[in-house]
Amino acid sequence: MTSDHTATSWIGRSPSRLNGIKYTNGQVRYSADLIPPGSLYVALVRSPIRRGVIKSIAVDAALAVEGVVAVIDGRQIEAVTDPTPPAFPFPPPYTGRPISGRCLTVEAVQYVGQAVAAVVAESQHAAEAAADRVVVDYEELDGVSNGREALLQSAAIVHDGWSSNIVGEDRIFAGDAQAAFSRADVIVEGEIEFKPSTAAPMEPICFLASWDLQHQHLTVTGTFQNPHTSRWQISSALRLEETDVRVIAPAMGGGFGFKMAGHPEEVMIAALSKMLRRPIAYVENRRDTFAGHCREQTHRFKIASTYDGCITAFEDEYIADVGVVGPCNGWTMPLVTGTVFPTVYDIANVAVRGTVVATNKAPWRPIRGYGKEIANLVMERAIDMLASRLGVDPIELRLRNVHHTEALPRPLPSGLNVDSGDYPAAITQLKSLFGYDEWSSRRDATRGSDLRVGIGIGIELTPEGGARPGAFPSGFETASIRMSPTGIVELAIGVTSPGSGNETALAQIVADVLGLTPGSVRIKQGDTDAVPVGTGNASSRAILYGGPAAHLAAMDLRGKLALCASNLLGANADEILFENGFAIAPSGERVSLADLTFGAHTKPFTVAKGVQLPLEATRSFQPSNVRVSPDANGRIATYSSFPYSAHAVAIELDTGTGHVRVLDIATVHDCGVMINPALVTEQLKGAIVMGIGAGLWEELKTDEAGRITTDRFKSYLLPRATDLPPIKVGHMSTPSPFHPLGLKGAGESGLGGALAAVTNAVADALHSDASTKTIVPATPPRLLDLIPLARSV
Amino acid sequence: MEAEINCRLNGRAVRQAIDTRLLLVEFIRDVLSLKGTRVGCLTGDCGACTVDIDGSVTKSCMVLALSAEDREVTTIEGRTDIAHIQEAFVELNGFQCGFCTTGMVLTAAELLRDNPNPTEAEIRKAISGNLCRCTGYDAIVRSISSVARRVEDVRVLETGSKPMS
Amino acid sequence: MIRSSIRFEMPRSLDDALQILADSGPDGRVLGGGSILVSAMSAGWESPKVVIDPVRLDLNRIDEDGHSVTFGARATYAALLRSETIRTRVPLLHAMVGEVTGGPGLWNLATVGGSCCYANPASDAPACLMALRAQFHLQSIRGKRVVSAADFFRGAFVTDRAPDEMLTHIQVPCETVIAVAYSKLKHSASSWPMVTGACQRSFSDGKEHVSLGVGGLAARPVFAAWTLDVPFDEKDAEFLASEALAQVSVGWTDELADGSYRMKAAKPVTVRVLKRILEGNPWKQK
Repeated sequence: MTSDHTATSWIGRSPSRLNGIKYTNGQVRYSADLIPPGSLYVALVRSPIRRGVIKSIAVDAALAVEGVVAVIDGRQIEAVTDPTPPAFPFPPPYTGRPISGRCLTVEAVQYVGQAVAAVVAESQHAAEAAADRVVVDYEELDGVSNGREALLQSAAIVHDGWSSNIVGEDRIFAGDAQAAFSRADVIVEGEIEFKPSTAAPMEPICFLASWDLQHQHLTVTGTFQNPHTSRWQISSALRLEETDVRVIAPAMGGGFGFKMAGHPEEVMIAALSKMLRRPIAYVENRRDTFAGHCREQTHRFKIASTYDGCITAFEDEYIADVGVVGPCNGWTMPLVTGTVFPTVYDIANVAVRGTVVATNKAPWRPIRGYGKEIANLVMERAIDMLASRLGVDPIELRLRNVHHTEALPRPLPSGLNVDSGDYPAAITQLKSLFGYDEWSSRRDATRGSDLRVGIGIGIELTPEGGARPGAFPSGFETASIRMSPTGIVELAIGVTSPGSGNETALAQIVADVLGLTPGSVRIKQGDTDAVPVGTGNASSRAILYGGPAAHLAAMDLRGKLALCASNLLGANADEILFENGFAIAPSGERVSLADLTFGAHTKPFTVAKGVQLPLEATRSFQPSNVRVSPDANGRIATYSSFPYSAHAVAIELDTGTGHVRVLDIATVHDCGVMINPALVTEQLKGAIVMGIGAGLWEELKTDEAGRITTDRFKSYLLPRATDLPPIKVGHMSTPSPFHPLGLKGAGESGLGGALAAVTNAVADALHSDASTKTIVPATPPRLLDLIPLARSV
Repeated sequence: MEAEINCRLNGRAVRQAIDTRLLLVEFIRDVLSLKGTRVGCLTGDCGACTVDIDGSVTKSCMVLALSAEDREVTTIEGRTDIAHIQEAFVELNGFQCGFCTTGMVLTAAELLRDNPNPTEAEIRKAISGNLCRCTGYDAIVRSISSVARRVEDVRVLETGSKPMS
Repeated sequence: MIRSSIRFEMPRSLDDALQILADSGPDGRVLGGGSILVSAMSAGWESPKVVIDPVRLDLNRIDEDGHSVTFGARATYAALLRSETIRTRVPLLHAMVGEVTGGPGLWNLATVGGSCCYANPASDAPACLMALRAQFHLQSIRGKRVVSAADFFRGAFVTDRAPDEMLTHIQVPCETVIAVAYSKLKHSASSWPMVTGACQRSFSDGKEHVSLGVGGLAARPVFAAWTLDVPFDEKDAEFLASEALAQVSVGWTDELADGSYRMKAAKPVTVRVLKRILEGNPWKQK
């Protein structure tokens, strides 16, 4: 860590959130709180059909509504915009293929909910009332309604200019899986069908655009998880210079991937403001947020072992139905799924085949887990099914097959290089934290009763720090630090907080270097005109990448301050200590940083002698555990860090109704060094609960026509406080040898392990041999259908 | 169509003509510019729009603004008596993104007023109408229960200190 | 966000309210607490031209007259839950109200009267009020009438209330209650009920009686009642449940569960509430 890593270090402590009281007294301003007076409002006319040709759009009735300013269709916007470029490029062989990049569709619709026309009015009420009066005449065409259908010869092609509906494929191999299966003692096969779910942050999407006619400059404020990416996409689409666009991301009411760049409305709102020369606001209603689906993957897997439980081979073949491919990177998530296998296990022979297909559904929105949660679910389900077949305790089977700590670092078949960990220790700690033996007894005692206890384990490996070449921006983060003449330290950084509190951890890192308190450090994020280019928020990178960038910049600033102090105090610069807001010489002589910086600015010839003014530094961090040169299998490694966690869940299954009650949750987590353990713990708990929700309750359903029927929080079932027990968390720390601060990334991890554990717990209560197919989520109607099977075994 | 509303909001009389369609939450946010009350769903499910009406917490998306006639409405901005609850939420990380937090805090305040020493189950039930997507609720439950404990501690201290004075 | 224009009325007398409602024809709606109507207006599912807020009509009282308890159509869940009268005289209603989800922000606002007028098959109140043999007091400019719960709930989202009628009160007979049980099945706290079971065991005319309401299962609540004139114990719950549920051949289907699930899940929910009230049967102890 820092060179004077003393007892006063802020690393590993948990000061409360910067400006915390503003969150609890209502003073924090989110995007929709910032709509300027005099703004126009947009309501969108959305397609009610899956696929069709727009024959006509009748707008007269809408224009007659009082307060309506304009009704704009795709053709009008097409005249002043280009298609939005994709945030992630297609991997070969499909590089450069066209995507559905129009913010308002032209001529045809590709999915239910696609925006066809924008109604602009002086009030939201008028805009929405008028949108109801726009009449669109469609010629309906047969669309592709699911992934299986998409691959049929007879299927319609979803995207113009494509020769099939295949979006991408990946084939990952290690050893010789086929040979290993052919000589295996035991083989277990299974299937997992994941129904669509969504991130559902509490704050809906909101974008505000304001075109400055005089300066020909556009400002877009909104729910941007990747402000710089959005700036690039918006400026490209609007044919503006990038620097003519300023993107501001104020406080965010939760992101979880849902607010990553590429919403059609980002560009649309910007174009409308420029066309109408007025500030304009789009506030998405909750019903429309449910169009942001993902996770619809079906996996068929096979696992082999010796009779004594040494796993010899694993195979997984999956199809992901990602809907239409638009500018947002949601469709790339299933390609990440395959790269995680076989997670924490030492399995010599692996074969993974993933196929991503386009259908006539809305584009996927990214979600916490980013496909990795599904890999962990599949792997852990396979392990549990094997344990059941072998008659071996599931914990014991895992302990027999996980990599040991000395085996790390080691590469996964996908080429990703796992950094560090102690899986056996985590599993052992989990066993006692959870009370595994006690729960096992309770489970056994309820085996024959109507209310059965089930327990499930889930080990999660979560590659973090995604740094895929070609993505914008990619594998680096930058921090600029500066000290004002009166001694205020301000860090401007390209990573953003979706509401996770990473600004507090960044302040801790800076405070630690400069001998300040975190509360005295100002963190500037989420404004493309004020911070360096950066990724915003993704892949647990904010502290993983932003942290060392901030650390490097702060160290540079400290070097300058040390020189100034040595000028003033007559000591060697490298002997100056920084504590409690003072620079201190070995003699004990001290000067406050405020006096020091004021001196440097007002007496540069003496105090700042030999110092490169200003008292600023800009540094970038690039991870070292990323490899862009292909390995022997032609694979590159674009995730740098590998936090993991071990989860146990106990549930009670009501065999009469299929209802599941969650009784207990325990997790042991290792993300290496923690800057702020309390924030890490609370993030982890949030991820765990998302995993439980995804496993048991959350499901987007559509009717025959593809329209969402679960469009409220009464039918898309988020976990509530009464659904959950308190969560027990234990931490371990095996610092990454590749990271300068020993970090591995926190915030995303926890979801997949909890999802796997609760899924396994349900299967345990059902008696897992009852069905080889697992449908996620495990809703009561599904479980009740399985219970007669369970009873017969 | 417009109609006049007369009510008290955060202790002050409000009298003005408003669009009859306005929900109470829209009146608070868009007309009175009090942004601490939030819109998360408009279906009464998330609780981000929670305000206090005549001493009872209410989801203000399910109330027409004109229904507040003659009522006393208090938003998070008008509550000057709950700093101890707000501080507990900060100390124990009872929020992450903060979007649901004002609703959580107001709901906690009502619970603690009526039941100063709630059990964990009572706390979970009280906040079961408020959705939080960030925390998994543990830290919120802990924040509320710490307020109860702290109030208890203060009471012990106060009664304990009386013989001394 | 309500798109269509509305006229808002907060009349000072019931007569005024009824006149406005009558004049509004099919375009008039009366608010209960607002949780259903206002949300439906925001979603664009309901577009009334006239909305009547009955807040000034003194319809939130809870009264007891020795034979029955009468509560106003505007009595909120929170008020009913707090009421000592309800707790002691109509404990099944108290038990049901205590199980309503939504948190205080809903309980302080939403009303049993509103829920009954909405008659969503997947809601708590209707089946409970069937089990309690509640009487619904309706009034219009044409006059007053009283409708039994069995006649009030006519189908999914359909009641016997005419468009110009207001539900003013719900009257529940007071029984000598021996035991009550309320149970409901939901996927999770966020969801609406799949199946509810409301059951009461009471004593009158020298005999014990059991009445049962099952909600969520069908378009209208299921009702069954028995006189315990032969010895019964909790083992008979299975038989009684089968007898009650035999009334339904097709289960209610919605986004969260189809009819076949409800048909299967109704049995254990019903058996369990019946078991709970049959437990400790005095005959068995002899």
